[in-house]
Amino acid sequence: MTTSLLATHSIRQLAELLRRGEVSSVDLAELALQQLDRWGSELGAIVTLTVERARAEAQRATAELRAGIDRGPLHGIPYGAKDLIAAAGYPTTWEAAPLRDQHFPEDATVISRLRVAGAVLVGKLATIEIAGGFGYEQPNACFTGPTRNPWNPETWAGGSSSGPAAAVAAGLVPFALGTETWGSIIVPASYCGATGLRPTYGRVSRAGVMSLSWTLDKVGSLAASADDCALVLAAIAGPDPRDPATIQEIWDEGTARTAPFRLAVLENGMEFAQPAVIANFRLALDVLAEFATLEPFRLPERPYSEVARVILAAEAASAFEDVLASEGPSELTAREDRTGGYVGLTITAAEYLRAQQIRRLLRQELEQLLAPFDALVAPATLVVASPLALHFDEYAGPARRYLLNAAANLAGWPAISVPNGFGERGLPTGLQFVGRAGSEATLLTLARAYQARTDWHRQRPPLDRG
Amino acid sequence: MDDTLVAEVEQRLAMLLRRFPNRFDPESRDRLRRQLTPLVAALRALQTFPLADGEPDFTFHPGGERR
Repeated sequence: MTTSLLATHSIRQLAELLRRGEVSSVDLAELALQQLDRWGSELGAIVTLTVERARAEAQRATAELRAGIDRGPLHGIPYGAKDLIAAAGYPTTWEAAPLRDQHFPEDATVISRLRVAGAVLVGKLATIEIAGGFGYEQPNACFTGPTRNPWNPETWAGGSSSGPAAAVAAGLVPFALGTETWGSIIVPASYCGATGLRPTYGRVSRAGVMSLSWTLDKVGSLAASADDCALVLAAIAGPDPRDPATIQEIWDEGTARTAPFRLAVLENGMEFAQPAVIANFRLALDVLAEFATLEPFRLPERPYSEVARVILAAEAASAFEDVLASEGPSELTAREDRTGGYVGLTITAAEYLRAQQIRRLLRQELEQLLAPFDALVAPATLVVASPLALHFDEYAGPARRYLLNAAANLAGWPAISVPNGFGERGLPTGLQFVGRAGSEATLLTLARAYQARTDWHRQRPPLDRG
Repeated sequence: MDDTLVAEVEQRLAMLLRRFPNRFDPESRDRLRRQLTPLVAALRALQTFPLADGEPDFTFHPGGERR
């Protein structure tokens, strides 16, 4: 078994090796633990290695597979989880220094479901303190330090699913769980050259996951490919009485549309994008034209970011009211996070409700505009990953305010980001497919079709794994 | 930045200082001013968005639709 095995094999290929007895789940878990300890630490991608649990779950998977008990494609596959997601027996720190010893007695629903699917939890992965909900403005905003981009260690991995994106892109784990409130899966996936799936709001239970914004939070996956993300979604999606916001229908990818597809191509709001981002987007459109018709699409000028800002600030202030009342924020890593959470406390109920009413109208309009199309395609981010030392505004300026990501999160829409080339400083760029609520199956089909024609998702940063 | 926006930022800051009287040093207060400014600007943008009294409530259905 080579040390690059997890970086070079898809989940289906690893599953095949497991079933042929060429490797065992214990072998894969030990390799992931070793790689996370070596590279995850160097990248700042790991918070806690779940060694004992990983070994126990891997031994169980090995024994079951040898006995002919097959729990499906994730059986025996190691994975990591963003450290907002509770795993019994280990700290769940939310990357906030005052909470570094926080424990929860039960697994989050997504962790329980992956255990049932036979997957092996090997580590809790880095994020931004409080998932960035207190307004961080630069990468050093968590007690484990900024997560480095595996393509360039002087560069940030993106946030707030920083560790999941870096660990997957570096090939340390085959997949990882992340969360998104406003950009936290799509952005780091794009920055690190991983594939990141943000499901429809309510598709995946958030029980046992830190609440930042009840009407915006989603749980999703990061992996090397859309196919890997689809396998993870199949294991974690579905209704959950512990999260009343979950969609009641059983997830079934079999409902996907098939080619020819009709795609909307975003044409506005990209004037501040880096030239290489636009160039790679245009090249990706040439590939998409092989199996889809492409039509221009303009996102209306609406206050998407303003609505999202008000809702997020108000809900975060409510969710963390007890933390704000304590002296806790003064111990956070980023100075801006020590005060940023308080601003939401000044929002009145009437202001919050107005934002939600506007949100409903915006969502209605967006659903109508996208109705004729199978999906909208656009760059995942307008810039490549930022240098570690720079504030986001200093680096990206107005390119930080990408209306599409605010609009799609407000609407509860799913999206998938896939790597589509390299830009400035040799850093990855991303292409995203965005669909209306409930359209994950179509997005996965589109992303698979793109990845069947390209090999950007197979590129790995040059780590010395010896 | 217009004067009314500055005044509203100061009003909101005063609200926080009343609730947490000994929490914020001068540097923190300056940072709060900077952090309140885009929030107040966002709230103002929403005030100009046309809404009628007859608009239905905001109930947000998971997944955007019931199936």
